[in-house]
Amino acid sequence: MLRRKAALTLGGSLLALTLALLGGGIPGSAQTDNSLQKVMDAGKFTYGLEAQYRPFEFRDENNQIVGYDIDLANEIAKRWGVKAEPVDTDWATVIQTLYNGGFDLILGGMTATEARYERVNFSIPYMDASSGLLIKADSGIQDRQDLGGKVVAAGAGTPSVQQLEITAKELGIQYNGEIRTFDNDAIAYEAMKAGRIDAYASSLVSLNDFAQQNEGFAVIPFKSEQWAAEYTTAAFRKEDEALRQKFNETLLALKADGTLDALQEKWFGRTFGSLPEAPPTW
Amino acid sequence: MDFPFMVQTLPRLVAPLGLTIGVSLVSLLLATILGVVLGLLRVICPVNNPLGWLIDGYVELVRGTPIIIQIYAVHFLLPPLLGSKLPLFWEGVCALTLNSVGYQIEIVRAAVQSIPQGQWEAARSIGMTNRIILCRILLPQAARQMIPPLTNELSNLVKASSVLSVVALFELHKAGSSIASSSFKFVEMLALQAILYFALIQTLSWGTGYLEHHVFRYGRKPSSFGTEAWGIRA
Amino acid sequence: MVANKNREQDPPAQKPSPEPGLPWLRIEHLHKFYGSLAAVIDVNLQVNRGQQVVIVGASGSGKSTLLRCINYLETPSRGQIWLDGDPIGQHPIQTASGMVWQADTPNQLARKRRQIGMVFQGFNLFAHLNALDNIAIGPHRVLGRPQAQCREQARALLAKVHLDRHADHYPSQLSGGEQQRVAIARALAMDPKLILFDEPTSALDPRLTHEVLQVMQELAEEGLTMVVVTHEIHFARRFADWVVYMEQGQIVETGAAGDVLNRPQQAQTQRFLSYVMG
Repeated sequence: MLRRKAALTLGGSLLALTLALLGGGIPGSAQTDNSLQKVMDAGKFTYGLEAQYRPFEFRDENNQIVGYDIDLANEIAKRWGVKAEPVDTDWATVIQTLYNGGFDLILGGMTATEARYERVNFSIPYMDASSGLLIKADSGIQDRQDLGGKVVAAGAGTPSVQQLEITAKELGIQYNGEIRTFDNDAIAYEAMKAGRIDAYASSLVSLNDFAQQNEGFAVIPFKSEQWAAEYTTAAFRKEDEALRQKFNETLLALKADGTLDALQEKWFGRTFGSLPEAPPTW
Repeated sequence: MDFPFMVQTLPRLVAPLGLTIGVSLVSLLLATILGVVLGLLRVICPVNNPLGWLIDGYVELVRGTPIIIQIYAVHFLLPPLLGSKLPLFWEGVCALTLNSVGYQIEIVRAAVQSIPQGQWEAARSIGMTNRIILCRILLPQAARQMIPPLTNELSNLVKASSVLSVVALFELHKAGSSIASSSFKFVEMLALQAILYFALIQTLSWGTGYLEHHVFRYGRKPSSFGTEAWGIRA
Repeated sequence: MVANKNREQDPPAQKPSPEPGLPWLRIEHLHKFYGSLAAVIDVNLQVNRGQQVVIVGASGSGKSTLLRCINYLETPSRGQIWLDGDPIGQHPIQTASGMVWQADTPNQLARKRRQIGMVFQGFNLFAHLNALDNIAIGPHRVLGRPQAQCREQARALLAKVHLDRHADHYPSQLSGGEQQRVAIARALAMDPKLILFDEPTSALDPRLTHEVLQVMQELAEEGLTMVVVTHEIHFARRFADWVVYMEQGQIVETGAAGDVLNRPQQAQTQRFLSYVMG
């Protein structure tokens, strides 16, 4: 009995130690910013993403990571005279992994949000991240008002969850049950095929990609005055200002010479011309 | 279900399957070594010894927390502790090993304690020291007792390795999910993963069953095929 | 102090004569308590070299506990044991305030136990080793002798217990009598100064019992010092130099085998014997 108690206490202490180390594991802000220099010295930069987000990044038939973000990263690397290397990581912990030294920056179709801004700084937008709603083509849902009484869902931890909440309040409608959340889009698509959900809110471009490849689905815009326009940006550690400045300069150049438009045309079938030229801040 | 798609996708899962096998087997090996050492220490540890508390505490910690938390802990703790980051494969090995050791300590302890007291007494009576008794008498006999629970542990490890997908090790489950999200064939990929995990675990179980019945088979037939067969000499 | 054996088919000249002076095994004021239960109370016993002593008594009389205290499988609560002048389980050390007794460390104890063989009621052969290696492992691992030499010796010992053709058999392939004879050979392999037998035939049927007793008889004739706990009164009469009768943890009567078993002096001994002899 005594031994068991001691063991429990000890187990508890080990657990506490682990948690303390986890919490303290993030290095404090760097004294000097050599972020850019490090990339140039290494001759490469690494960028974090989760290769399960068509068409930004996904695996091709040879398990190679391809997509809009990969082409963009390679283009930037080419202009810097270095190599770019994607690091497939878990999206839920991507910012923690960034601070843990898992990669130099995040370039993975990340939507700039206020919550994320508390941990990272954003680049200037390189893609429109407006939300959309995926519905069955024959569902009769025309706009947000029709969501009343429907089963709605969004990706866990994405801005779409808040947008669905705001919509209910704004329009005075009630969904059928709680808002469902899914760990990734593929599971949500499957739930939709099985008729478990009626509408799925996510980024317009990835929903479009799905609807184009699967019959019987449609995508409608998911917009409101109640939330700001959203953009896709790269994200950097707060202290890595030099790297972020250089990245922004290059991005502006890619916009100016039409390279970015060409990449958008390739992966999204159209261009998104009116992206702001300043990083989102709050 | 799109069966042709499943067949067609199979080659893309070969390398990830190899990774799953590799990470599981290497972890099992390391965890068995550590588990035997710590389990034996636990057995010979006197009552109320701090080392015993430490080992018990570790076992409780591992059993009392979900593997996903343990994997995240290794993923985020190890780099600051080591001052550099391990390749993902070794990070996965680390996490699974630390987890499995917790269970194997108990497996070893149970196996050693299941050996009749008379074996201890007989060994003591010819003047064997504890070290000789453990290495030459108890462990060789415990080894055979340990095979069924170790088989169990191996299949647990193989399945637990799928959780390594959360730190983006490109093992079977991660690869399956990636393909599902780029092809939108979610159900097919789940089924395919289930089949592959099942086949893998069946194969490994067959292998350990063979070990149990053909290598550790003392007392089955009279022959000189005895202690040397498994590297333990009298 | 201990009567000499007198057996016609056994010329005394072939037995090493008991050495003058100190007895070979000396037990002084031995007590063993389990909590408030006294299993052995103030036992004093001396055994000369080359003698066979049989301890008899009812179940629970403390005779097995006494035996297990001799090689410290049970740690005595009080008392001292000496074998060939060597104290077992403890050793004297010199301190500023004089000599004090200190308990042996596990390794010191292991070294002393090499000199005391033991044969158990349940045989306790090592289940993962064949008969040959059961015998060879002691000299090889404990005494550090080369394995080939140990196996050679083990073969000779197997022949001695009439099991030359069973070297490759594992314990599970041997009968109880065969297992017990291997166990005797295992004890002999350490070349002990004394072998303790703890009810060696209690788990055996009469035919197998005979095999084992036969081997013990042969060893006795070679002059091996033995302390035997047994219920085989007829065997004891033939085999023992000296008999000890125990009851409730205490020695009730000791004496030459013929005296104690044929003409017991104590009423308790008489009662026990009339009961077991039918």
